[in-house]
Formats: sequence, C-alpha cells, structure tokens
Amino acid sequence: MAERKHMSMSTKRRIGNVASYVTLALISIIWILPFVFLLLRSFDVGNTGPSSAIFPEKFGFGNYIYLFTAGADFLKWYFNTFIIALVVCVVQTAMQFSMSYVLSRYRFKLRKFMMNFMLVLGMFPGFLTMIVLYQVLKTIGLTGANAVPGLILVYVASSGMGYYVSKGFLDTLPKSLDEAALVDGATRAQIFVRVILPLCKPILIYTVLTSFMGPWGDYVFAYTVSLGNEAGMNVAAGLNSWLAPNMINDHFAPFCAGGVVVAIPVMVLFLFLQKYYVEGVTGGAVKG
Amino acid sequence: MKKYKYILCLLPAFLLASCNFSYTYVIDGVEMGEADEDEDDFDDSGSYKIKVWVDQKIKTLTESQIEAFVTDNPKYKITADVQAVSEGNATSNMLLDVSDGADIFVFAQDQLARLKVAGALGKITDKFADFIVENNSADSVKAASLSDGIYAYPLTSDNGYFLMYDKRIYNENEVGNISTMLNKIKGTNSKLYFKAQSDGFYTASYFLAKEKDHPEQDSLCKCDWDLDEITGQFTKYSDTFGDDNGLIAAKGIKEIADKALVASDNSVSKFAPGTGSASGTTAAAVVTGIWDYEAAYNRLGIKDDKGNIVDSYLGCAEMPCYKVGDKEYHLGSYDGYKLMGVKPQTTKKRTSVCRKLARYLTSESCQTERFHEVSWGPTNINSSKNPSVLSHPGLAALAKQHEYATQQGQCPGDWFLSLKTAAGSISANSTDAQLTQILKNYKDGLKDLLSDAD
Repeated sequence: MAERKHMSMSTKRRIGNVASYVTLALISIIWILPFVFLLLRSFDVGNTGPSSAIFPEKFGFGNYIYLFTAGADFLKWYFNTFIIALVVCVVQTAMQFSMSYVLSRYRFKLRKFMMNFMLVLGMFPGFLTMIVLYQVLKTIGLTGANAVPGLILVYVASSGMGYYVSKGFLDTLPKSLDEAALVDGATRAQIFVRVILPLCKPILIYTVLTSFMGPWGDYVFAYTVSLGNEAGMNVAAGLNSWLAPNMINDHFAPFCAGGVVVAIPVMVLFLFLQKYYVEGVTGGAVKG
Repeated sequence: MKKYKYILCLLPAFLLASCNFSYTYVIDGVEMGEADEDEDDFDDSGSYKIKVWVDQKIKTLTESQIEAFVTDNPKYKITADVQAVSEGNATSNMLLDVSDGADIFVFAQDQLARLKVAGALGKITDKFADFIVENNSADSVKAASLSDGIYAYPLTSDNGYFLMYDKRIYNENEVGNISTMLNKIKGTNSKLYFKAQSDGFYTASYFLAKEKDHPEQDSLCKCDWDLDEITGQFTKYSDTFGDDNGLIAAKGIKEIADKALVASDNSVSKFAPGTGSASGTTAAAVVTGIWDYEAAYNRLGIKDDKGNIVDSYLGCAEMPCYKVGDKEYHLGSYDGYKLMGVKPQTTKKRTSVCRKLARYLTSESCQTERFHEVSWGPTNINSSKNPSVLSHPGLAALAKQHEYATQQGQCPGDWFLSLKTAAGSISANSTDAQLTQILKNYKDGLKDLLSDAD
C-alpha cells in the first residue's frame, strides 16, 4: 500500500512537472514568437507588405539596405534617438545619483516630506502632463524640428525623482566609510566620487541601463513633441509613420528590419552588463 | 504647518490656471489675416518661410513643384519646409496645435468641419474660391465646402474603394457578383479580402448599395448627420440603415460572413506573387483604394528576363453585386476626396502667398504631374480628361464605381465603429429576427453618438 502511495506521489509529481513545463514552454513560445516573426520578416524581400506568414517568401538583405539609403530617413531617426538616449543616460544617472546620495547621507528639514512628495508625484503616469509639457516646450521653441533638445529636457527633468532604488543601495553602505574619509580630510564631493561611487558599480550600471532604455523606446512623448516633423522624430515615431495605410504595403518588412536594428544596442548593452544589472536591482531593493 | 497647507492648495490651482491660459493662447494666437481684397493685385512680395505637410510619397514632387512656383513668381522668396506627414497625422497634429502646425497641409474630406472648428482652416473667398469652382469637379468642390463657403482646395478624387483582383483567378465577367466570386474560390487556398465586417467605412458599401443597373436610384439606406459648424458637435441625425432596407443589406452581409472564403483584411500583399507561387492563404481579390494600386500591380507583376516588371496580373473593377431574394444590388461606396488646407495666417501677405501656393499645387499642371508620379486621381476637370488618367485601370474602376457611390459627408468617427459592430455580429446562420435585433441595437446606439460625438 505504502509502495503504491509512493508511486502515486512520484507520478503526481511527474504529471505536475510535465504540466508546468508544457505551460512554461507555451508561454515562452507566445512570448518569443513576435520576435522571431519580426526577425524573419525583416529578411523578406519577396513580400514587403504585411503578411501573417512567418517565413520570408524570398530571403535577402534588401530591407536592411533600404534602411540605410538616403531616402529612407531611418538614419536620421536613429541618430536622433541615439543622441537623446546618450545625453539622457549621462545627465539622468548623474542627477539621480547625486539626489540619492544627498537623501541617503544628509539629514535636513523637509527631507522626509520631499521624499514622500516625489514618491507620490512619481505615481502619476507621465503622459498626464503631455499637453502641458508640449505647450511649455512650444513656448521655448523646442517642438517640431527642435524636438531632440526638447525631448532631452522632458526626460531629464524629473530624473531626481527616480532616486529610490539607488538610495536603497546607498543606504546599505556603512556611513563609517564617509566618516573615515571626512576624518582624513576629504570633502563631501570627494567622498561621493572617490569612495562611494566605486562601490556602487552594480546600481550605477542599472541606472545607466534604465535611463538609456527609457528614451530609446519612447513613442508617446516623441511623437507628440515632434508633431509629425521628420527632423525631430525618434526611431519609434519615425518607424510608425511607415505603418500609415498608404505606406504599409511596401514598408512593413523594412519596418521589421528597423525594429531589429533598434534592438541591437540594447541587446549588446544587456549582454555585457547583465551581471551588474541583476546585482543592481537586488542590491537596491533594500528598505531605505 | 498652516502656511504649507496654503501653498500646497494654491500650487495646483496655479498650475491648472496656467495650463488653461496657455491653451487658450494657442487657439486665439492664430490671427485670421484675411485678405478680403483681390489678392492677385495685392502687393505681397517678400521673403516667406512656409511649412508644408504632404504624404511621404509626394514629398519630393511637392518640393520641386514649389521650386517651380518660385521660379514663375520671382517676387517671392519662399523657403519651403516640406515635411512628410500622412493625412491622418496631419489632421490630428493640426487639432492638437494649430499655431505650430503646417501652413499648408493635406487631409481627408471628412475632417473638414473638425479642422474648421479648431481654427485650422479659413474661409476661401474671391478669386481663389472662383478658381476652385471653375477648375474642379462639382463633387470635389462640395467636399471642400461647408454651409457658408469653401474651406479647402480639392487635391484628389480617389479616396474611395473598388475591387482589385488576380486575373489568374478571375476573368472580368466573374467579378461582377460576390456569389460567383466566392463559388470560384471554394476549395482553394484563395479568399476574398474585404473588410466589410471589420471596418465601418467598408461595411457601409452594403447599405449604400443600389439596385443593379439602376445607378440613378437612391441608395438603399442613408445616414446623414447635422453638424453645428460653430461648436463642432453633431446635433441631429437621420438614419435608415437600421430600417427595412437595412435588413436587405444585413442579409447580403451574411454571404461574406463565411470565414473560409472571406478574410477581414485589405492588404494587397496577400496576393500571390506574379512570379512564383505562395504558400498559405492568398488573396483572389481585395477591396481597397487607389493608394494600394502600385503595390498591388508590383505584387502581381510579370517580370522580363532582366527582372523588370513589364505587365501585371492585376485587374481592377467596380464593386460587385450581391443578391437578396430575387434582386441584385450593386455594392455602393463612399466617394472620398483629399483636400489641401491653408491655415489662417498672421498677416494678409502670408495669407495671400499661402493661398497662391495652394492654388498652384492644386492646379491642372500639378495634379497631372502628381497623377504621373503616384497615380493619384485628379479633381481638376481638365486633368481628369487627360488620356493617361482615363486609361488608368484603377481610376477607371473608381470612375465606374462613382455612379454607385455616395459622397461622404461629416459624421462622427464612432458611427463607423457602430456600423462595424453591427456587421461584425452577423454570421452566416443569422436569422431574420437576429438581424432585425442587430439593426435595432445599432439604431438605439446612434443616440449616444450625439452626446459623445466629437
């Protein structure tokens, strides 16, 4: 009887495992299929219009070549996106870290209130402010063709408010390090740059990655601020214009190729910095 | 602590107030600058920077046309910033912000009233209005007009739909009737691609049908919307889509509810390639518009030894008929036009120059040139008589369909959604009682569109 029960448990576990693996495999397929579709369609030079067929009718690199030809505008959009993401990445990381350091190490009036206030403000979806931001940017001439600096301003404006993850990490570093450096005659800035920052590599890389990816994949703000002007579009807004009814039939495959090219820098960044990214997320997830 | 409370209360109020002021400023910030006098005699020479939004396909052509305009009119030094913005995006961008929008832009006719209400279009008067009336087809002028006058320059007459088919599957005698078409593809891997159950714009074709060979008759149904041209709100409607004749249309739709034979799509890339074969489901025929003609022609293209397309298996025809009872009905459609608008300008001089430029860009020579470049159907009377225009298969099909077409008026966008919902509920097995109920639901829903209509 005991043996039968044991067998039954083992069978149950096996069935449970099989069910879990099948479910997970199905979820993986559902998740990965759009990417496979995008990749394969990007090589389809036989049918450049929308199609539900996954495999290309005729395999070739024509769509990729098209992206980099003069008339396609893709390079312009790609360059815009890269500039925006790069500048935002640098400025946002610097601002976010400075903010986190100050909130972690200093004690001053209204500190708690400020932290709570920023936390509450951060809960409002960014696009709620879109129209107001658009009007402000327009007043200072940073829409349309000048959307690139305008978008940089939008993305970096609230950088400091994303302090909580890196502050969580900084809180885990002993204050005695700062105090020791102070005793040795270091200034606060020197402590921050020479003592604290080298210890923050994982969270620094996490911040760099997230601040790069935000503007890299943004569509809503980029589309609104550029107001249909190609010169000010980022790659998401630009590629979307290829899906207009009168464009899609000869631009869907180049659109897929564009999607692949857009994914490359982020993929490379992740491949090289994956280890730090995980450390950064888990390191920052400590009660601050 | 009390002080902070006051500040916290006042801050949002101040922010809201400033948003309101800035928004009002945008709308009011555009001055009309109407040049009431005869603008051709008006001294408007000078330097101008003009922003133009046109479709990607005609961007380069428009740049060269503007250059030609400047060459012909040396008193103007125009720096034209021609940007590729689709008609749909042009409308939404203008509605978002008139003052930052283009000076000259292209849009679909059904957006005319909304754009006028938003202050994106000014009334066209004097010689410019006369030019439009004298040179363009009466229907296109009507499309560019509201109750009190003309507001835009007619640009194309081809924004309607017709039937494109694969000549390897159908001959021209077989595309006149939906039943014949569907019977021919039974048991094959080909389908009819028609969005009649997934897009209200195409659903309407069933309700706007006329008895076969009787184009002079009224369409089966009508749905007219009254628009308050000051507030932009729809105030009244008169609908027969939900009445007895609507039931005829609904019965017709049953035939195409067979998913094995009809796909709710209109992509011409589903045609099997002219060279080689395709696996999976392919299109035997597609109901779409002239904007897809070139792509369809190339897709079905026959190539020579050097790989150049020398001919195509693409056939074009007016919409087919459907049969209900013992009567045949010719599918209707909406006649659509693209219009060129001029934003109200800040000075009389700018108004004058922008209008002259728009007049030039919609003139006979420019419309003919546009036809040769991208096959867009002209509204200009002389241009549409051009032999090349008359012999264009797609435009010829549209011209035939024109007899059975209804001019698209101003209607709320959600009306198409209501139509789509109604058509989407129809299945091949729907009984008459079910169809009547579907139409009743549709009709009941129309009242909601009045308050929600934008």
